[in-house]
Amino acid sequence: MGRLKRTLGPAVPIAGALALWIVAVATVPAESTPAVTAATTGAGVPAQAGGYVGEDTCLTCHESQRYDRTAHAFAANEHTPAATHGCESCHGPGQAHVDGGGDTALIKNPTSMSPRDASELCTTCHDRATHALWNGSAHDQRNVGCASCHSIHTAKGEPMLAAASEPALCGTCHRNITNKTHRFNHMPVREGELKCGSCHNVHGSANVKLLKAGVTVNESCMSCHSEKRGPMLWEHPPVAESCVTCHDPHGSSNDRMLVAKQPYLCQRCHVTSRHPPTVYDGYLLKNSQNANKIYGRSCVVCHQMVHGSNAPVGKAFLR
Amino acid sequence: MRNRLLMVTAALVLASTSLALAQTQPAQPAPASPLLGSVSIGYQGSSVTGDEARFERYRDLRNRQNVQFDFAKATEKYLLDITAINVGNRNSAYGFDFANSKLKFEFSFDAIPFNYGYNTRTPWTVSTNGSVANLTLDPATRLAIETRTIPSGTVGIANNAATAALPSVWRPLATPFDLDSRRDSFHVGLKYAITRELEAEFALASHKRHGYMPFGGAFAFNNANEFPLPIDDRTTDIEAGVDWANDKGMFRIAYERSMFANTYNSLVWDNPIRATDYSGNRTTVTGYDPSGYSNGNGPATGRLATAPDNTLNAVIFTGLAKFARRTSLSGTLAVISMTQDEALIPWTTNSVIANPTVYAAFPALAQLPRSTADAEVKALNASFVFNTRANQYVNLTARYRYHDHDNRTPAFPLNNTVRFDAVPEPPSGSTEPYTITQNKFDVDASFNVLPYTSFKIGYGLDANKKTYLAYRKLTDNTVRASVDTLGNQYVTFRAIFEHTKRSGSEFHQEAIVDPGGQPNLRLFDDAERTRDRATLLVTLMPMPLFDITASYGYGKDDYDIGLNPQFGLLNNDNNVVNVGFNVSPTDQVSFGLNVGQEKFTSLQRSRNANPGPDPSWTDPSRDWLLDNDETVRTFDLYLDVVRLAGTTDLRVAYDFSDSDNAFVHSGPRIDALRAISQSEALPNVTNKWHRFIADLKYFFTARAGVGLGYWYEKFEVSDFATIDLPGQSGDPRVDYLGGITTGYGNRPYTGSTGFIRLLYLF
Repeated sequence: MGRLKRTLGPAVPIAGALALWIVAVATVPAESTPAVTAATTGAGVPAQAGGYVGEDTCLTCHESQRYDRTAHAFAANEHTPAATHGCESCHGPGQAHVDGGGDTALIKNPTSMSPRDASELCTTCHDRATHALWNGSAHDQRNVGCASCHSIHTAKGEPMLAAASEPALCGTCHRNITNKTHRFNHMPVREGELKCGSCHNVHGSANVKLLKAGVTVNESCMSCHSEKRGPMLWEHPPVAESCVTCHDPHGSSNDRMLVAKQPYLCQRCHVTSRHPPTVYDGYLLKNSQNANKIYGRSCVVCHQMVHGSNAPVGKAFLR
Repeated sequence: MRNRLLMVTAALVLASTSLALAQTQPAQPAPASPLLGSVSIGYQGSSVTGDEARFERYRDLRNRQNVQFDFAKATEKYLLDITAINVGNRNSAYGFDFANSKLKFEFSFDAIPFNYGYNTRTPWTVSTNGSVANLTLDPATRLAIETRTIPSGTVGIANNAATAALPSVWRPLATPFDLDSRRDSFHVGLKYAITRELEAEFALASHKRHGYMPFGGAFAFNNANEFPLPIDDRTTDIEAGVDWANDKGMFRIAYERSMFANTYNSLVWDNPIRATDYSGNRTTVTGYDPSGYSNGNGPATGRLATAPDNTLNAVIFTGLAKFARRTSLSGTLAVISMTQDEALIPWTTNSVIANPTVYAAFPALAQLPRSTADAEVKALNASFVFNTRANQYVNLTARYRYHDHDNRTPAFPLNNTVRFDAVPEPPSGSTEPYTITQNKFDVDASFNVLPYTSFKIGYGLDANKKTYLAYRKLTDNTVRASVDTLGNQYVTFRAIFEHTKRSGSEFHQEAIVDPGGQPNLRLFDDAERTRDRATLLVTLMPMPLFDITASYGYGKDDYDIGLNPQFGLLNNDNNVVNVGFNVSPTDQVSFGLNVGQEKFTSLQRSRNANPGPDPSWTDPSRDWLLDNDETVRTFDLYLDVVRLAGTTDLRVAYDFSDSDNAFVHSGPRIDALRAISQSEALPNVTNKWHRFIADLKYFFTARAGVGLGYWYEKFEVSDFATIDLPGQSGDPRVDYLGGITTGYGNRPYTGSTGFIRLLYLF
């Protein structure tokens, strides 16, 4: 009898929810139109010296490009466009563009600028915390700029992403990586519990592969998997070297996201004598107690402390 | 049955509602006022055949309420964002963010279940006693096995073909339990703008893991067991920092402290084939069996040390300086200390070993060299990046990374040791506190000399010094070249090629030979190699809102340095191809498709031998090779419809993944075993995963609507490492050759989940 087959009967809760919904619909007012708060759009900033025309002028032609209800519209934060020059904070002074009858060559448009020039616009403000190490980062060096991934005016996902989710966005270039989340041994990315940004700082980091914690792969992994951090009395060198010696963090068809199936992964290094280099094949699987090295947890059913042991007798990670 | 009815009903309603879209319904305009949030109240129900736990995995798909809430308000003075996802479920998440002109506050809670198996079974009973977790077995059964008085037709643990068909006496005593755990993460963050340029921040995070995980515990080669390990641990992270920035640069100093605390620092578990510590050998002082580690004549219980409590402290400096002509210098410096001083468990709890008579022959077992681990690592990390775009044609980046992992843990001498809690053994070296120093230097120059195109060349040097490993120095020299198009609205082209040569020096062969390795073995994480990587990405956009993307990736690692023969991993390579398109004919409709194939291969060599001076040790006819070849195919299809006719949101997606993983043994040893009918090929490990998702929202009014969702997943798998009861596919066998296990494995499932919910926007 499976857990998911236990049911009180869906009819009762559905009927209850339906009743609740009917009440909600019946009591909603026919119309409710709270006024748009002009202040949140930065409107009212007058044209000034320096060639600025003010946001109201911009919106006479570009009404659909309002950035209401985004972080940029938060006027209380003195750093935001809404608190400074509105649209022209990013697009530059608009007087020439207006005088030129809307000549697009006389206004800055990040989506048509070179990625580096566009990124330079954004990093005049976004140059601290997670964005501090953008210059010279892996994406910057490959001419992947802010406008490659973010859309200020037509965002589909948070934060201001050009796609509905991080995996969908990152997968436009890193499809081979995002496909790995389909493997049946995977981190909970496709379930929405983790995303690419959970491990990577795509804006630049001190670590390899844009990992956001630490300077090594291990420091990144152990920021969550701190039970592996140790330091241990007995260390397993490939573990101390790098977690990705044995694991594929994006997904794998092998248990525990290993890069190869046990015992064969372990046999890449353990060519000693007796049981480590035994031929673990179909014959042993059916005929010998040594099948315990093939099925189930395989090598780690005995060597369970494979990440390092704190036991005095832990040299072979048996305790 | 009821859930099947619910699934079918949901699917039919979904279909009928879709049809209803074609009928004349007055279009409901979107609300005129900005919306603040939404609430969704409904019900979810699932129907599953097969492995229910794997169907759920990181989710809670039980029959229960499905409630979501979000609220976001933006005024001149503050921003407020509140979310509640899967309220009351095992995978619930809550968030609260508030910001005003000076302050930013964020709170989040996220629960992530990890469901291993619902049809797992175990004869062990779990209990806890302070910091010790205990796993106990029925004493009468243990004694019966030890005294060989178990009923005819059963075994203690099957250990050959003749007994493989017999049930263990433990099988009927194994009771079903849910093998699952959950990680609950709590985070609070506070950021305060002291001045326009100066900010202070503080963050506290706590991650608690609780539940069970499959864990191993062995007493001998013929007695390797798996049981549920109780988990109850917490990681607490604290961070405090000050951040200063203006248009010339930024500087940040932060302190981080991370504390891992494990409720159960050691595990004691009963031996399934012994009720008493073995003492029947007449050749040893107390009767222990010198071969007890292989034949099962060992202890009645075992004790192991689980993950120890540990602490990390770090002070981190980050800086950025902007200079003229688009030049910047950024850097990070982190000073880190990691400590772990857990009390050490005894050498053994086996009374036949832990007694003065044995100590006379193995004196180091009388006491531990020290009572606690006294483990400590000091680390220093630094990263500096110089970047300049002095003109529009050339961009130069130079990066230096330094990592020093200085392990100061005093060596723990193994003047004597105990194997499997069964056999005392003579001196065997000491611990090897691993230390590494890395210096990594990269320089890249990109040239924008052609319209819409950027060429980049680069060089990297990665020099590592390590202790205790075979190569005390390993150096990677990498050259790379890439080309990227810029700003072309019709074509995006990206390609990169990297070649790395890893060279080793200060080779210490004793690091391989002393532990018993073949002299020609090279450990792939500490070996010379050449590595090639190439990727190519082409995106064509013949018209707006339509793109076709093709990508190809290639990678090859070659470890073969010409030794005759060479052991270990010799090479591995992979090829990846993806082709797809995306179409957005209107702002409201988008759909797309992607097809991909990945192929991984690897080759490794080993020698099936006894240690020297046994002649097999140097006999090349004992060599064997393993060729591992995996092919994975993926297919993804999606359709998104947003506010069609002002009323309807629809998302439909189908994802598919198909893996075929082959393990082929070959070589003279295999030929010899086949000649005596003692070798048999392994079947391929295969799996296919299908997922179909449909989610429909239909708004009857500007603010109220109904949501229907349907998820379907089918997982087919064939894995020789998953053992089922004979003739009962999908029913775990917990007593196969060589051990007693929980039966956890890779099994198929077919599952459907339906959602029906009422939506209200406000």
